Amino acid sequence: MTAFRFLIRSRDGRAAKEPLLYPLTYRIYHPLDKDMNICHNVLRDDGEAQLGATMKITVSRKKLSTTVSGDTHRYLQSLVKSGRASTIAEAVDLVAERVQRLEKRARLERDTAAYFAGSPAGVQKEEARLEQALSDSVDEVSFEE
Amino acid sequence: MPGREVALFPRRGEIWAANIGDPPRRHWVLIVSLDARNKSERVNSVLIVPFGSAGYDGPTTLRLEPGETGLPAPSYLKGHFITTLAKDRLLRREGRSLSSSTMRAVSEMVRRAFDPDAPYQAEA
Repeated sequence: MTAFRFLIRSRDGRAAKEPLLYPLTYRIYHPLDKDMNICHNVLRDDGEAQLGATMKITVSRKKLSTTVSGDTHRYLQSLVKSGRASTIAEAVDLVAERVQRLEKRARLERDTAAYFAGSPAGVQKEEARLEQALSDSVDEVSFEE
Repeated sequence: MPGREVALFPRRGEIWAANIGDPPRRHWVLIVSLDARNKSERVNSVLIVPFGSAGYDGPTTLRLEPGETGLPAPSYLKGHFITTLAKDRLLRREGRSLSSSTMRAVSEMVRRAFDPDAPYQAEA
């Protein structure tokens, strides 16, 4: 399996952790440092570590202490168990991200519907004429080029 | 074609007058395709977003003032009408080229016409 070896260093250059082997898609959140250097070393099949890219990342995590319902907790645990999230915290992020995406999609659909439904007569007339003219013009375009 | 002034190729961000429709009527359009395509002699069309004189704010429209476009009046770009247009329908360059930041806003506006996950900042 292709893997990356992450060596986490704090800002003063000291190694914050021993080098660990993680799968390719693993995401790291450090609870204390905001700036971290992450060294990616590809571990080749022959066991040698190959030097990879180094990048600085900024981590901004907020501490949250709260309680959730049993159903919610079971669902978050199922996300971790299935491998879709590495931790409960990451599972919460995943769920919140999905909800935000759905809300944003719904808002865009609603505003688009409102635009077409609420167009004043003058705008509707111009758009209908433009729509027809553009359709006529497209006939000349070769889609084989 | 007599009367045409397409000595230079149209560039992304430029506003052109174009003959659109049948019978043709003059419209202002914004060139949005990449310049590699615009200048290619092997591609006979460009991607455009048409301007309308009537309109109002929506997720896929963008009102631009004369100071930005060089056109005589406020105009509305209609991202939901992005289309291909044969290069020989372009008549001449008019107005001003739009800035990079406006072109980014145009790209996002066009994207909202087909991508439900496009960037969208409207209030909930």
